[in-house]
Amino acid sequence: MSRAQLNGRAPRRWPIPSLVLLLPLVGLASLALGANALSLDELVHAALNPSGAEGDVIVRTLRLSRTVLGLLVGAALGAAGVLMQGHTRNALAEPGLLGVSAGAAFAVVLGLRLGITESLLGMVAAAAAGAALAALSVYVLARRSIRQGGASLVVAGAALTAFLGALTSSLVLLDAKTLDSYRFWAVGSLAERGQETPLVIFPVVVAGLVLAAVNARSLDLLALGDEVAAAMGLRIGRARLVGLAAVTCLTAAAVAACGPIAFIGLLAGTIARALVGASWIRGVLAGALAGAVLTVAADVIGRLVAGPGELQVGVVSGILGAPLLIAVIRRRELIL
Amino acid sequence: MSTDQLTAPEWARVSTRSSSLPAQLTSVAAGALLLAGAAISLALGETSLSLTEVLHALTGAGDPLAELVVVEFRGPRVAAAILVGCSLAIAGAVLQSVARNPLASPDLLGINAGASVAAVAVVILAGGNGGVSGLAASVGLPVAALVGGLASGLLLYLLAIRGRQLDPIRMVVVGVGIAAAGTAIVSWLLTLGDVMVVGPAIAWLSGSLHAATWPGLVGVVVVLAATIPALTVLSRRLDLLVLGDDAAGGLGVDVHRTRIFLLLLATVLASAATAVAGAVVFLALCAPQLARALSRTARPPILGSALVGGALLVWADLAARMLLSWVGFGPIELPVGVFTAVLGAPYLLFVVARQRAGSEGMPS
Repeated sequence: MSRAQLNGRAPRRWPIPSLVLLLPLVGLASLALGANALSLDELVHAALNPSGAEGDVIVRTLRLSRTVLGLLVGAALGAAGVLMQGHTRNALAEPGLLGVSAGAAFAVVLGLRLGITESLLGMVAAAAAGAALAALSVYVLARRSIRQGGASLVVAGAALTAFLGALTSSLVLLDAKTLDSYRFWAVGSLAERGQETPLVIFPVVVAGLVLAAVNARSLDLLALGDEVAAAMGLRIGRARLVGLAAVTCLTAAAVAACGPIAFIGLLAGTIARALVGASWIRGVLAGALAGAVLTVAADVIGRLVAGPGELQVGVVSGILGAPLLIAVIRRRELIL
Repeated sequence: MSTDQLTAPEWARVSTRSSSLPAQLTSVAAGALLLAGAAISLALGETSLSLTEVLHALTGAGDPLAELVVVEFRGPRVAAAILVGCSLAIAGAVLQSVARNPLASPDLLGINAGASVAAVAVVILAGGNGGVSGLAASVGLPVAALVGGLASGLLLYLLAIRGRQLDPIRMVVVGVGIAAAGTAIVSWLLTLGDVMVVGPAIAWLSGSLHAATWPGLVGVVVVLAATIPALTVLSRRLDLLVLGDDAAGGLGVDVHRTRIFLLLLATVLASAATAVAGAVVFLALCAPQLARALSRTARPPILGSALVGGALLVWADLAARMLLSWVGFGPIELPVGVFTAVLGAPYLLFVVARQRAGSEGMPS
């Protein structure tokens, strides 16, 4: 339980609405800002009265799908991060750090190399297989870390990530063409992903979010301890399985679309827990919203800081996320 | 291991003395494997030599061609494999003892991250003409890797220090954070260059010994020569550190200063090794724990780890050189890191299996 609940304070009511309000703000920023900054007039023009002007083209063909993709991927990673933190009882858990994203990425590259996955849906399916296996390993590793203190899970996840990354590098080294397309995918980017990508992953992300919301109720019970939860009628094995399925869906969709993006789950999860306290249902919702806001914000920052070029989302989140990781460890409350 | 976490029979089985019989046997066996691997590695290749020819070439009494191949081409490579393997394994052993975590290693704690960022930056910036050659490759790359490794080791120290104490748990998490940030920066750098330049960069990131030269090994030799005596002196303190901060402090060890000095040693070793061979993954992770399991000691033994690490890398390099030729794909070499990564799989499964059985590894 959080300190707030132990102290008898009621959870605050405003965090989720405020996150919901932030969404259109970052969305607008994403549509407007970049190498060509557009004014509000131009945005309105593009939305209501498109006439083939340059501003319209930028908004409709480039930035709209990019923004929607960022929101979807961010929501997926944020919800997955919160769910993983709930299941592993560890404040540092998230798909990127614990190897689930790396598993999905390896499966995608393997599928491409073997020629069995060409379409985006095929990539999502391959990513799901990889993510599921990695998430299973994480679950096994997590059980021990609760006794040992939270750091060992993170190191185990890092080892898994490094191993999968090394295997992935080996696959791409042998072929210059695969290497060329791989390196732009592996950095984690919302740019040039194709217009139809958000449409394709939308159902997968929604399915994952629904599973996550359902699973969050079980997490509330599991937080009371395995024995108490079982006594209250929860089927623990099934709850873990549903959680695994949710994390797999969400991570697979995000990684297949944009490549592995680290730290979004951690950032979103930390913010969500700080804002809403110990309720996992509201935590998952807040995590999804925070993840969406963070991803689009990171994308906008990446567009603004690097001059005519841009820094990809994965780079911005990687650089900004590391200090957060270090800040979280300061508080030493690694076990939730 | 903390004594209160071991049952009596387990404590009786585990020895803190690294000169016990299993430890000595492990060192001897690893040493034998290392020499065998080195000899075979010197003999095999595009020009196959017999072992007697290799021996003649080494003692100067052989055929000039054999001498050229053995001394100029394969010799530096085999020597590099031995030295880099030893250095990385020792660095891993020291870090695992300091962090009290069996998965701590320079690659996971961000020390190699700095080396990788610096080296890849040099490759990308200097390789604009379609390849890294000449001065950039022979001097710029190793120096960049060395400086980068030392810098990230320093960053790890600065961020993990709490009060004036190096907290092991904090060190581990900060290290993972630095490694993740380093990965993000490297991924970005890889999108900047031409694809012909990116290939060598990724090969460096996977670890590769093919560019080893005799002069290039001087750095590693110097570092090893300085480190091994220091570690011999600190050996007893390392044993006590593993028992836990309170026990070690009570027995007279200045826990925090010892830890900081050991972190410095590990950083310098890992950086020097990375400067020669690139970011070889998993060796520093596996070799010390293999040596520890075989020697039945509470912490990875320094000599045992070094010999196991050297043997592993010599054989991995042999496989990297020869595997594709053996299976008929022609004389293409793979980066040695591919094979050390493949080693990682059974090792990780081993770690997971041990946890499921509930047996104790090293407490973190």
